[in-house]
Amino acid sequence: MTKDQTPAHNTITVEKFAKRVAAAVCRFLDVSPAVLESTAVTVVLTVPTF
Amino acid sequence: MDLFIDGNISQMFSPEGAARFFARLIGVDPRSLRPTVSQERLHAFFITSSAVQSARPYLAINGRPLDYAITQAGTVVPQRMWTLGIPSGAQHFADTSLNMPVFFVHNHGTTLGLPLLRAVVNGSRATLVGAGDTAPIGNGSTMYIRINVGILTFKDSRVSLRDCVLKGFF
Repeated sequence: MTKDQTPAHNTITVEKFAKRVAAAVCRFLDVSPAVLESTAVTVVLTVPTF
Repeated sequence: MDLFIDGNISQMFSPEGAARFFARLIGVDPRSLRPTVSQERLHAFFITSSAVQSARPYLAINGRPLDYAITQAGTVVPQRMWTLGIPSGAQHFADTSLNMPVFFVHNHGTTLGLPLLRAVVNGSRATLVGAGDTAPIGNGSTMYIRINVGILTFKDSRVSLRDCVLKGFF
């Protein structure tokens, strides 16, 4: 790879993205997912591209 | 249905804020947007103009909803536009391109939102629209995501919002 090339990044599916966001929210709230059975993850995200 | 009145983003950011957001996201005058509204129970706003679609080709706007009309079904935690809070950060943010909004939509087509338990433990492939599609989050290997997390207090039905910072490796 030359210095002008950038490494290819893996893509992530909507399902896996939802899972990672949800897991992070659970960590942030410091609770087990089981106690949040009736709680919905927020649905609107827009992600800056750097 | 009006994108700047009935949309979730307009409700969160105000109509003027939504116009600024869409202008930054898509790179065209938001007044030129003529979204098509889907007639399903959960109304989605789509951009079908080829001129708008070609303004930011990497967004792959075609077929992706720009917003959904507000509905009483499901749970939407309001979000805010975020900046670093310092002058240099504001400039950096202004120069940063955005990706399309990500919506988690139940495939029965009536609600926005995804239960945390299902997302984390059970998986959402069977219930989430486009579960196997590539998430429109850019191609960076590391990403910081800031979202408001709503915590519903059942005693008084208030929702308190806390700023949650997520760092992800993709």
